[in-house]
Amino acid sequence: MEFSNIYREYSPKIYRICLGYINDPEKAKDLTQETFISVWQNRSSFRNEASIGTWIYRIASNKCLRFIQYEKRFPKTALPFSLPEETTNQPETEQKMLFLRNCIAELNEIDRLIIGMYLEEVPQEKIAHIIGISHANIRVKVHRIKEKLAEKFKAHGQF
Amino acid sequence: MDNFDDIQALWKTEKADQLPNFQQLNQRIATHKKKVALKMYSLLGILILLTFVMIWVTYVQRNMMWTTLLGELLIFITIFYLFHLKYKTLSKKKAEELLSNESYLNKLKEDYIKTTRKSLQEKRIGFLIWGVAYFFFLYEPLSKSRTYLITGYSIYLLVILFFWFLYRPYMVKRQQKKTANFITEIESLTQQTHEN
Repeated sequence: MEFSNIYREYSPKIYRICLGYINDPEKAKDLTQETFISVWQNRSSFRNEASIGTWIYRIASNKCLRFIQYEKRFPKTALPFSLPEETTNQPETEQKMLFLRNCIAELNEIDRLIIGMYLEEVPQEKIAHIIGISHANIRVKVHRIKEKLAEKFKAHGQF
Repeated sequence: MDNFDDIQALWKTEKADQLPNFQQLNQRIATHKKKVALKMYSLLGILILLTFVMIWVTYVQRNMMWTTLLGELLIFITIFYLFHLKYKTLSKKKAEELLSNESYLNKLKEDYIKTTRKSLQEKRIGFLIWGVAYFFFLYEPLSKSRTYLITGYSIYLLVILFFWFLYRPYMVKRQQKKTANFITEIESLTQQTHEN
């Protein structure tokens, strides 16, 4: 697969995962670009042992984790009691998306990465491989995160 | 919203159209390559310039004592040593990014501790050679009078003592604090991977 095609296919997915992790569109954009610079730099190390997607997700998630070395751990966004007023003029989908991002921002770092990949439909087995823990552990984690998110959505009348 | 599938559908609505296109990414990669090359060339340029400066200083100074020559040689060695350390940092590979998150975090912690320890040791070696180098280098200009010699070396000794016993421990403590904070952060992330 050519690098240009890889970029076109995976950059939106990586951007969303980074955005879920840091909840800041500008920084997510930077992290996405840094990920693809690393993909380009390490392209000779890719030997088809894993799928290219797994390989890219692994680089992206490590980039996200490395973020703590460059910046103080960014504060977890407090979940607003109601949706912020300035967003009331935004389309409903955008408001809901903002709410979802805020919900994810309340999770711990690893959970943010897991749910980001899960929402991108990365199979749980691959997520386990990327994070470096067992499949069973990932299954439990995904279940708990989904429950947490669903609860928050219900509590705010989003479900 | 009726179920988690709706959340998944909502997630996919996040626009990624602000991302640069492939051509822009290519430009960024080219800039990145240039930046790395520029750093390497500047390092090499400064090293060549310093070599010429040292040769020039050695050449213009007449009736040099062996102590001055030895001092200059040691200063030169220190400069090369420091440049070698800088070059090593610049050319360090980043292949560890290909590991799984858990292994990556462990490697990051291990490397950080090792690098910090090594860097402190390298700085100590650099400082020692530098100290000895100036000790010899200063002898010729100070040996003209006994007063110069005593005053000069007393001041030099005070400077060395200040750096060794006050400044160095302060820097070590600061670095240790930074290392401890970093390790706490990494351990907290590693812990998260084991939590259910």
